[in-house]
Parts: sequence; C-alpha cells; structure tokens
Amino acid sequence: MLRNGRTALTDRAAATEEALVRAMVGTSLDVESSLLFTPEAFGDVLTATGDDVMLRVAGVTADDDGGTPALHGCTFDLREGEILGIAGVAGNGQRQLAEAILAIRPTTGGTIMFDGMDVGAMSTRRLLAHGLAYIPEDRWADGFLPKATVAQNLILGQQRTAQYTKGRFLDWRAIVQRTGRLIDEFNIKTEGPEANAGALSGGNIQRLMLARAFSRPVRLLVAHNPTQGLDIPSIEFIFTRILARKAEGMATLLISENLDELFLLCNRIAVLYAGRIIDVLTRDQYDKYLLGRLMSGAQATEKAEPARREVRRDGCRDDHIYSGGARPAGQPAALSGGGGGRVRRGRHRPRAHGL
Amino acid sequence: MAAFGAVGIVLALMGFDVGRAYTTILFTSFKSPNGFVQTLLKFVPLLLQALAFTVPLAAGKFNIGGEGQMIMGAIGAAAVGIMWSGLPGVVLLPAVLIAAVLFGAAWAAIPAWLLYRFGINEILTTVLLNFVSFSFIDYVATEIWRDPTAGHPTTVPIGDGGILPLLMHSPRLHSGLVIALVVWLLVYLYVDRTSAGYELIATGANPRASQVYGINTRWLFLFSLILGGAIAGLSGGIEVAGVHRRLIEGLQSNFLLLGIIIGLIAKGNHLAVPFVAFFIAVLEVGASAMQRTLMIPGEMVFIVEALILLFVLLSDVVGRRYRGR
Repeated sequence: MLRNGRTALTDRAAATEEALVRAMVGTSLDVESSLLFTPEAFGDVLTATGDDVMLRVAGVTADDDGGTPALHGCTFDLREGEILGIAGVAGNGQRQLAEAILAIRPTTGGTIMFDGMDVGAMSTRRLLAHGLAYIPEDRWADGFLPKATVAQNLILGQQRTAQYTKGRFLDWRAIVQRTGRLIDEFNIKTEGPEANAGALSGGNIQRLMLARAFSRPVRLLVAHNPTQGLDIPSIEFIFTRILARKAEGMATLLISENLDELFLLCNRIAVLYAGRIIDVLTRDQYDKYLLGRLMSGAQATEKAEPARREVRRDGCRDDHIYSGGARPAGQPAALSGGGGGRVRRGRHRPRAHGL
Repeated sequence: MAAFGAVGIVLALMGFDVGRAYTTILFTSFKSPNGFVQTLLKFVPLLLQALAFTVPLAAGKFNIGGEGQMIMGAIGAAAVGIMWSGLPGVVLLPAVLIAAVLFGAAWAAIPAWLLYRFGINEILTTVLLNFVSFSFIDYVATEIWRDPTAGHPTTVPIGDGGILPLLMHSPRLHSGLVIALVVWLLVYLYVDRTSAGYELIATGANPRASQVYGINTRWLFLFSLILGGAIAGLSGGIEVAGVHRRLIEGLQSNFLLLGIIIGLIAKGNHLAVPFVAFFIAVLEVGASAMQRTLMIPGEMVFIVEALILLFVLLSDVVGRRYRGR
C-alpha cells in the first residue's frame, strides 16, 4: 500500500479491509468519529426532517436531447431539512429530471414548485438567485470552463451575487480572496485562484464543482453523483457538509448510483426507472436486494408477467455487483468493495439475464 | 522576430538591401510628424476593426463581416451627412456617427438574428454579407449621390457640420483617435470587468456549462455580434467624417483582415489589442514608404504580418506540446 510515495502497509496478513482503508487515508481522517465509519453517532441528524414541502414535482414529463420522451410523469415531494435520494440505473431519466428542476430543460407536462414558485415560469438564472444550486453529472460538459482560471470557474452562476460584485462590476479582489479560501477548504490541488483551470485533474474538477455549489447558502441542492472520482477524506468532508445543510433545514436532492451513499444519507429514496418514479422507500425499508429489483424495473415487469417471477429472482440473486449480506462491523458503509454499490447500465435489466 | 528573419532571407534572395528595408518599415512612423500622424490615422480603423472581431470572439463567435459593417456604417454616415448637410455641427456630427453605429449594428443584426433564430453559422453569413455591401457602396457612390467630377466611384462631400474636429492642423489629425480610444476603454471595462462581460467570456469558454448555470448564451451570441457590428460601423463613420469627408468606394482598405490578425495576435486580450494595433499600423505605414523608396513590393509587409500570425499560433501549439499536454 502506497501513500504519498511511501509504503504505508506491507504485511499481507494484516490487510483487513479496515486496515487497508486506515493505511490509505493515513491521519487525514479520524476513523473513530467519521460519518463513513460510524454513522450511528450521527443518528438523529440523519433521520430528522422538517415539515414544509420545499420542492413538489407533480406528473412531470420531459424529452431528452433527441426529442424522445425521457420522463413519463414523475411525482415526488421533498421537505425542508430532508435528503431525498433518487436511485436508478444511469440513463433512466436522472439527468432530464435534474435539468427540469433547474429549468435548464423545458418540461412537456406536469408542474414543479420550488419554495412556492412555479419553476416552469422561471429562468435558470432566477432559480439560482432564489437559492438553488446544482452539481451536474457531466462535470466536463456541463460545469467546467476549460480555458478560464480557477477563480472564473468558481464564480460561474454567481457572477452577479453580492459577494463577488461591486455594482455592475466584478470585485476581483474579493473574488481572489474568497475563491482562495474555497480552494483551501475543498482541497483543490492548484497553484491558486488565477491558475489555468484546464490543468486540473478530474477529481479536482469535481472538488471545484462542489466548492462552487457550497460557496453560498442555498435552500435546495440538486447533486448528481456528487462524490464521483473523490478520495475517502473528500467524500467524508462532502457528506458532513451535506448533513450540516440538512441540520439547518436546507433540502438536498441526491441523485446517485452509489447505493451505499444513498442508504447512509437519505431520509427516503425514490426509485427512478424508465422515466417514472416507481416507488419511494423509507429508511426502515432500505435493502439492496429490494432496491436493486426496483431499479431493474422488476416490479413493473412482475405485474405483467407473474409466472416468470422465480426465474428472475434467481437471476438477480446471482448477480455479483451487490455486496449482499450484512456489513461487518467497522467496514465503511459507503465503500463496500470500491464502487461495489455502483450499478452499470445493462447489468440489471431483466432481458440481460436471458428471460 | 522569427517572422522578420524569414522575410529577411526572402528579401535578400530577391536582391534587396534587408537592413534598409527594415529600418524603413520600423522607423518611418517615428522619423517625421507626418509619418506618426499617418500611423495614428491607420491605427484608428485598425483598433476598431480589431474590437469588432474580439468582442464576438469573447463569446466564441467569429465576426468576419467587419468590412461589410464598416461600409454600411460609412454609407449611413454619408447619407446623413449629405441629406442634412445644412445642419450645424452640434447636431450633424453626432447624427453622422450615430447613423454609422446604427447602420453597422443593423448589418450585423442580420447574421446575428439568423444565428439566434435558425442556428445558421455566423462565419458564413458575415463573410457573404461583405459582398452584398460592396455592391451597395457601388450603387450609392455611382447612382445616388455621385460626384460627377471624380473619376472613381465617390459621393459628393458631406456637410461641414458633419466633419470631425481636428486635433492637429498640420499634418491633419482628426479626433476619431479619441473616439476609438474611448470605445476601446469601454469595451475593455465591459468585457473584462463587469459581471455581464464575465458571462460573455464564460459563454465563449463553454456555452453548454454557461447555460446550465443560468446564462442566456443564445442572446449573448446575438448581442455580441451586433455590438461588434456597431463598432465596425463606427469605424466606417469615422473614415467618412474624419478622413475622406465623403464616401469613397474602397475606403474599407484591408482593415478587416488586419483587424482579425490583430485580434488573433492579441489572443483576444483587450489590454494587448491597442499595442498590437499600433504595431500593425507602424508596419502598414512603413510598408508604403518601403514601396516608394526602395521599390520593394508592399506585399512583403503582408507576408511579414502573416508570418507573425503563423508564428504566434505555432508558438501556442509548441508551448502546449512542451508542457506535455
């Protein structure tokens, strides 16, 4: 095991999963008090929610870029102080859903209400100004200015907020100061705010996306795979930031393919399959097998073809992607088998199992 | 430097005195007051043409229609200056310049709107509209307000009230220089210092991401092209009101190409644009002097300019390779 160019662990007999993780993160993460390793200590924060609805999505339909319908009537509520997960195999409408909520993509039906405002009648700019933040899934295409500086990247979408401006003019001194702090806080590996952002690595661009989203207080955060490409201490840091927002009564819509991440953070998990929310699970219903079945559209198919039920069940159970069974004590909740909770498209579709 | 070296070799091979050629090119502008004023007179349209190119470039759009917009601006300026030639200067001069700006903006609005509405490539439409403007200036200068005493397509002069006041009488230097520098300052402040200008730059860097973060990119494409057209139109108006005092076919010279070269050499950096524009103006004035005194074809200067551009672009590629990316 290498860390910072030194061997941190060589003894094969000692290489339990916990020892490996400890060797990997070194002293940068206090394992005993961490959210990833001992979520029990955070119990109250994780389960609490507010009462008022922050985001109401009702019967929303939308097309994908090619004009084919991608959402077929999505309906769910998100309350203040709640983290709602959207689980689904990639490509089932997650991106279209996120973009519809931010008014980036026009809807073809249904209504979206954010904080009492009709999203359909608003522009993305006004939504951002009213307290919405977005972490896009495709950081290269949707969130990054390759030819600009790190500071220019960090203020994207906030170029008219008071913290970065003096009247109509940008306040470059304040920008350099504040973005410099963000770079330190979010551990972005760069020479400074005025360095060229084109030289950043994927993980650092992801940190930049997160720093931008967390750089001002927002009522609702729409985060799509927020921890992709991050190391363990960074993931821990982001999770604690998301929980801190939650404790303040802010809402988070966590769209993720990482089931461990969803199970750890979410009050409820809505399952998105083929552009529909087919079920919403509460914390006591969290079970990878059940969720996997829902994500693969099994339930929808089951009703149509009850006779084939047993066959499919076996097919799913054999699948090695889920790290089934109980988690041994001390094993990180969100890390089983390095992306073990990540589901790739195609694997779970019933037809792929020879039905 | 490499560009000068390469051209020097060519000149030497052609049997010219390289040293004298270069001293002529580089120092004509500074040897006499006349040379310097000639340089400044070239500098004004070059600076404005460069800005007409770099403003849309900031948003990632290419305005190759600067000369068409300049011609239309000149036509607008001449039309107002001739039709209301009796008006006093307080009224007529602003009217002439505003007409130039509006005509240039309107000409650029055609490709801008086609891009906004139908997504038609602006490079193609701006270039093609240049050719339309050539015919248009011909028509205006030979049919509508033709000056029968001139041998070249030229209109009658504009009213005295429409002429830009002079900063210096001998040699004559008009106040368009001040206007050009003010326009440059405003453009610099807008693009590099304001929130709205940041949105322009962000759009140029990644339109899709800018849209995701709430910037109306399509509108900025439209706006930046029209603003570029307005600046180009103003350059035409200044040529009419300051230099020629009438509309002359061919007044656009080759300011468009030089403006694009300036914009590209400056890499869109607005702080660098006036310096590059001045340098190119020096080369231009030096070139005609070289042609007169040494009988070296003035085209050699185009070759120098082209080579400078090539080397600048090449140094980018080499630099990127060198950094291992």
